[in-house]
Amino acid sequence: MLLPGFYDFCCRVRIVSGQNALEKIPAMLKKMKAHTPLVVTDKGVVGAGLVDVVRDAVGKELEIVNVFDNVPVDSDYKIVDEVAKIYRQKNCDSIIAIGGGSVIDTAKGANIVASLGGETLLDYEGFSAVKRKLNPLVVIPTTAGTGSEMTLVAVIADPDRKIKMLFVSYFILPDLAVLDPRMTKTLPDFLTASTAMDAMTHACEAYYCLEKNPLSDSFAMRAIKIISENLLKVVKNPADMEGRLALANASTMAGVAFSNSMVGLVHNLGHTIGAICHVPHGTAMSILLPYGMEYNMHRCGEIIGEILLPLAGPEVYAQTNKKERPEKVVELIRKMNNDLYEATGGRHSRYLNEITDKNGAQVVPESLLPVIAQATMQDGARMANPEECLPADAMLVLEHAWQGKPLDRSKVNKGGTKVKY
Amino acid sequence: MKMHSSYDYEFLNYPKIISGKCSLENIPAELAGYDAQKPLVIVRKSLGKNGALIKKFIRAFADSMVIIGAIYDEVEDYAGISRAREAALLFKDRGCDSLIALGSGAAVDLAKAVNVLVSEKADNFSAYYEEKSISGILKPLIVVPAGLANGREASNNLIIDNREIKSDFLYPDVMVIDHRVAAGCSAADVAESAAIAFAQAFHSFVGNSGNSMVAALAHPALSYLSQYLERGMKKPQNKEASVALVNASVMASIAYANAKPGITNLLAEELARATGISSGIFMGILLPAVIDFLVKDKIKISDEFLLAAGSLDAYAAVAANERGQKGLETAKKLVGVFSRVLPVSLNELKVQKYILAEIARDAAQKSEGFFPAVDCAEILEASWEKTLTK
Amino acid sequence: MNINKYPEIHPGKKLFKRVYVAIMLWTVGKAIQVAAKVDKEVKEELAKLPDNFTLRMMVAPEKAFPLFFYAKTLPAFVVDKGLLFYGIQMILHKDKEGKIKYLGADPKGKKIDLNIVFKNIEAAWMVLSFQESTATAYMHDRFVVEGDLVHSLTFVRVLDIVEIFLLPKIIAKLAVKRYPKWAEMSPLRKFVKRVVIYIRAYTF
Ligand SMILES: [Fe+2]
Repeated sequence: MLLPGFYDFCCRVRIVSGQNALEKIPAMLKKMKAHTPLVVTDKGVVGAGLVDVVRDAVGKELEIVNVFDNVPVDSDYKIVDEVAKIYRQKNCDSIIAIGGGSVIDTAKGANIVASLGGETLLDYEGFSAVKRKLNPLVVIPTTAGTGSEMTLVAVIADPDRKIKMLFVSYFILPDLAVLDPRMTKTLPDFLTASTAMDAMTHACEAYYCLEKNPLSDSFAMRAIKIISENLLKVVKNPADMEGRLALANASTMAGVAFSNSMVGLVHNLGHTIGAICHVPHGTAMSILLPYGMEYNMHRCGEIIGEILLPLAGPEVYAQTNKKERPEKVVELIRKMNNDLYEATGGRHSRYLNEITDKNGAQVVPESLLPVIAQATMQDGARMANPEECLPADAMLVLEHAWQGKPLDRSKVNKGGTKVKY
Repeated sequence: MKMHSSYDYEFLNYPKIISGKCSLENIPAELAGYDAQKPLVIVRKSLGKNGALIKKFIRAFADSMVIIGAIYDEVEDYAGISRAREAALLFKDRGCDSLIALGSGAAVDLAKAVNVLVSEKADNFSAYYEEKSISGILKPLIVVPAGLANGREASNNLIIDNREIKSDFLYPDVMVIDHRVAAGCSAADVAESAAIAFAQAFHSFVGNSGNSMVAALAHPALSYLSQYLERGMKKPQNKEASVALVNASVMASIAYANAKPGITNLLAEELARATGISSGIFMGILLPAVIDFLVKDKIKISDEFLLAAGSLDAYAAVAANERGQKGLETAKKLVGVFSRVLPVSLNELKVQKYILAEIARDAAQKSEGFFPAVDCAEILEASWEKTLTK
Repeated sequence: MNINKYPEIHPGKKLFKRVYVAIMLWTVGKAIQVAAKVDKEVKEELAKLPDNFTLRMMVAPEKAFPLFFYAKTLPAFVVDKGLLFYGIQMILHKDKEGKIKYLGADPKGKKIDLNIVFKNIEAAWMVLSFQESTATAYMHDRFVVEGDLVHSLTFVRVLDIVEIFLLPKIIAKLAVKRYPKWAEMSPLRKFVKRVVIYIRAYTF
């Protein structure tokens, strides 16, 4: 295993996992000396009955009375301030966040204001504002994908200034992440597929991007193995609770990996396409992952080739020539997308031009590709990608991904030295 | 629904790890993250005498806001209450706000103990021996491992005056691994530290093969041990090997804090208690016998052990049904290296044969019936006399 | 216990590295100011920043110690008040017309919109002596960014281009991820820009 010249690693979130993990929450909260939690969630989660699932599971030991379910899809600091206000009004002493990325980020932000005092999150901008332990924060993810329960970053928008504020601190990390398959049971098959592919992308990019380290590698390898063994199974049989728990675990492991190792080109393009064309994150990830690997193959092909082992198992790995391994990895990811496409009746997209909205209209028009390519320069994920990616490079990748043909690697700009990790 | 889900667990990996080039220079920024800038440094005496090393250490704080409250360098192999009180006094007198343990082993135990005294405003530990739990977050503790380890450096426990206190608040906040302090201890110290790391990682891996989180932590530890142990013992000055081995030791001790106790560790601790010899030496002696025992009784271990201790290609090249066996062979070869510098048998350490039965019984009891006393006795028996040549 | 046996220790300062980093930051600041005038790509990149925007690159901690002691050892042009009172900094400003100006090292009275902070002098030293590329330094958490991350990406890109202009290929290759081929940037452009930027940075 590679020893990097320098690395740092931190994932100090307690993880409780299991078919009955939710039942353990009251005892864990009590250990943290918290008794009156505020549940932060969104309307979708409430609608799916998931708050009731949690309420039933914690039973009489912990009464859930305070629920804030107004977190929008793209949350901003005003929502955060509102949550903090309610927290104080109701004399809460902890937060339980139930939901996906937006809910978790809102809860992280609200916890800053609620714990440190003050009226608004804006007071805590900047990297050094949070310097002490915050109040207990429990996170129950409802999608097996984002991994935000493991990241020390909260991204919260300021609609007035039209910017995204970044809050980075180890104290923002949740105290507890609860992985229970009941929370993802009602997820439709195509969302199960795309969120798991998001996790797959986190793991793969963490494995070959610049900040790779022994621990992120170890977690990433395991996440890839679990997803490739379980995803199709769960999509075909949504009631497979053990499989769902496995996927939730894989998502968290991938979260551990990428929050310590950063993601690259796939997320760079994916974030941008998401912002401009409103393509769901997981969908963009599934489509772009093979291209991200192809684009970087001349810089770190050997490392990408290692992914074949967890992806396809030792037999295939041993049978494949070392030189052919990276290409085999790409081929298998494409095959996985195809299988998911078939298993979901076409709702899992494979190319950018295949994505349609509810009315069947195309979501990513070809004419927008140059705009997207330019805008990729504005996304932080470009830093960790092994190969430099300027707008012209991004355009090359986007054109191929739009049409759904493999990347013509002879056209990729080369000229860097071998990647040193 | 399966009853024994491999995803049924609770897991915590608290310490942040910083490893590699210019790690020491990161300490001021880490302290600033906790709003701290005046640490008390607790140093192992043997390191404290090394003027060049201390100078390098202090130099890493140059051009920062950090003032070192004091360097307390009275720690030898044993952490006791009187030393803890002295250091706590120094901490209060200088108005310190954080702790740095420089060096592994007792220095870390003592730093943790001082932290309990100053953070909990306690004068002694008697209440903590009797079930009292530590009430909350302690002062920031940064550990810079170096020299002979005892396996508790990155862990959630401390041993003071031979008694253990355990609490998740005892995890250090940051582990800083830098070759400038990690390189250069004796080959025997390297081997003993590695024996502990191996025992911890091996049992975390084998005993918890279902818990992927623990396995993910133990995996790189085993990889580094198998890649760097030979080099580290031959050339203790080697930067890369020393950093890798300290990494292994840190990861193994965090993994082990999340795992069930292993038979090697239980037996070694009982032996250490009975003889006063450090438990790492016993782990080096016991490991080959433990592995032989697993082989003999055809106890299945996780396939992935071979992946961790070997390479990707070595793992893939072995047929599926032989991976467990091959893994044990790899492990046996690896632990064989210890015999070059460490004692090979209990007999050699003048352990009285008649105490073995009692030790087996105690260890079995501590495992809560997980390891039967007969098995423990068999392993001890096998370790008592060996004809291995050095 | 004799408490005096364990004295309080005030770790010293790294004179040479401070001087070197201060000079390098000064050079980078001036070079960006010139490059923004003479190079189209740099100009386009910087156009992405909002107008009336102040950017600062500094070494933590700010205001650690007045640098009177160093004043004598530094070349006269580098010594400004900021350096003496606030530690090592480099402040760039983009005004209402979009013109870029290097403002020296004195942050007093200025509203900083983007703050790029090297965590310690050693980190700044490694980056500015090209032992670590900007990307690697970012990966190794050698610096932190305060303000909108998007703008810091613009700045890093500008830094890369300027490094390609100023440094000989053998060094620049270490500093950037991919050294541009002929098709991406002609050697003539590199050479001309190098001469122009150096001359103007050190004369104006
Ligand atoms: Fe993602």
